[in-house]
Amino acid sequence: MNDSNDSFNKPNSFLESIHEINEKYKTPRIHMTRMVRISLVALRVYLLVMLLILAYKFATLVIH
Amino acid sequence: MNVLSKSFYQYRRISKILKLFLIIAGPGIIVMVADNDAGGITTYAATGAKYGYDLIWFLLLLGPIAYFIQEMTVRLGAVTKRGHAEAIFDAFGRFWGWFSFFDLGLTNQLTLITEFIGMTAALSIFHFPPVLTVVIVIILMGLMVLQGKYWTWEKLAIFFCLINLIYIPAAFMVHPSVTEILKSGFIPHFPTGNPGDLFFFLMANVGTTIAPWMVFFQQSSVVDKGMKEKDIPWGQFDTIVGAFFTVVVAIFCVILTATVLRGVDIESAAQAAQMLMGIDKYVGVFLAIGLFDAGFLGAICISLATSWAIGEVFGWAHSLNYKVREAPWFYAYYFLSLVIAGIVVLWPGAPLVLITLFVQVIATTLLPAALVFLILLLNNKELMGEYKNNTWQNVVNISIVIALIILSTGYALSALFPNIFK
Repeated sequence: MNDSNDSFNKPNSFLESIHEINEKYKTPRIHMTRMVRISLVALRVYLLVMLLILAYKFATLVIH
Repeated sequence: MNVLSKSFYQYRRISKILKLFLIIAGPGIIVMVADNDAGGITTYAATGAKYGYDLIWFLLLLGPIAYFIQEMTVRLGAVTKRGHAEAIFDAFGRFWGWFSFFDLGLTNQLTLITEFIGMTAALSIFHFPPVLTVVIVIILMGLMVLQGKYWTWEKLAIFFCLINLIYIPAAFMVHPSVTEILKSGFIPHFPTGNPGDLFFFLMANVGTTIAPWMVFFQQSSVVDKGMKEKDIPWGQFDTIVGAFFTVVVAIFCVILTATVLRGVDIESAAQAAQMLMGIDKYVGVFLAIGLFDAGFLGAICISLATSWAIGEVFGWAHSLNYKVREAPWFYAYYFLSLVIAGIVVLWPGAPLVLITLFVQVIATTLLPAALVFLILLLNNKELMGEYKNNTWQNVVNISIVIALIILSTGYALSALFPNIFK
């Protein structure tokens, strides 16, 4: 079972929670080996290509 | 006497193992059977109608693929005691964390809408108005979680998994030719016809095998169940049993439509159920019940996967073992996602076809990330210790992940541009 965190059950504000999360996970904890770096770069390229394809499809749908 | 005492000992041993399995069983069976959701059933029904028994052997391959991917979530959840969303934030930082979080939220919400489309279509065969179906589903799903025990929710979900086996008697009722099934179904070969169409169907079947929500759901479920490192072998066995059932259901669904709807272009499982009603009323009813159940199982897993992820990331209480007052945000999002999906399905003129089209494409943007993160986390000695992937597991899992990424991307592209592979 997960431990509950009461302070999070009644968040002061949504933006504060976002800020806390951004601070908490500012630095990746995984050791950046060569394999990890290559995988993350490949993922970024893949996502960029998929995004461009989606944008193209939306654009052509709107034009037609 | 000796034989009797030995038999009694064996009986006690087996019944003890069975009891232990029934306690541990859950996440693997549920996620695998729920994988045959409304979209999955439509894919299998269309595959059977288009290619008859010819692609049954291909479905057999999908069981091990699903097992190897999902088995990693069991180890990761049991060792780290963290859901996949939290694990990504922690290991890869805020950029990949927020990307996975928002993509999961969007993909799951759109997939949830497609499950509601399947459920309303299935019950419309019994003349249920869509609004009544939506209300019944939300109430049922609410009652399942509000009792405040993960264990009870899990056993109720397993009951709905058993209903998914309805395709087995339905297939027997249409009297398929066993000889023909064995001859053309279990000998690997590719049927003749347009290669582009065949490629599309192969990709569609692979695409329904692993969805991003499955990775997030099973890992969170393992954590919520409180599984520990010592439970990993049981969790793996649970996942094997689930993978077996998901393939069995897929094969019998294919046999059903291959036997009676061969040559028909099927656009949805509900359409297949309507057609079957004209041929054999009871078979049509079984298919409609199965479709509703598939959508229902998909919906309970998807809505929970998102609620767990939100709780993990924001640090809010997020367990089915908590009452509503103890985990208000967890339950609030659970109901909100159901209500949004219900409203979209009932909204006159809502772009349901467009949603169905884009859900696969958006899922494809998340799937590679979720799978790559899974492999990287399972190779982290500091995190996984003795439970990290060994060389053999890496060879198998990395090969599967590469194949899944290529095929699901191909499926997404052919959904966007139907003539791309023709």
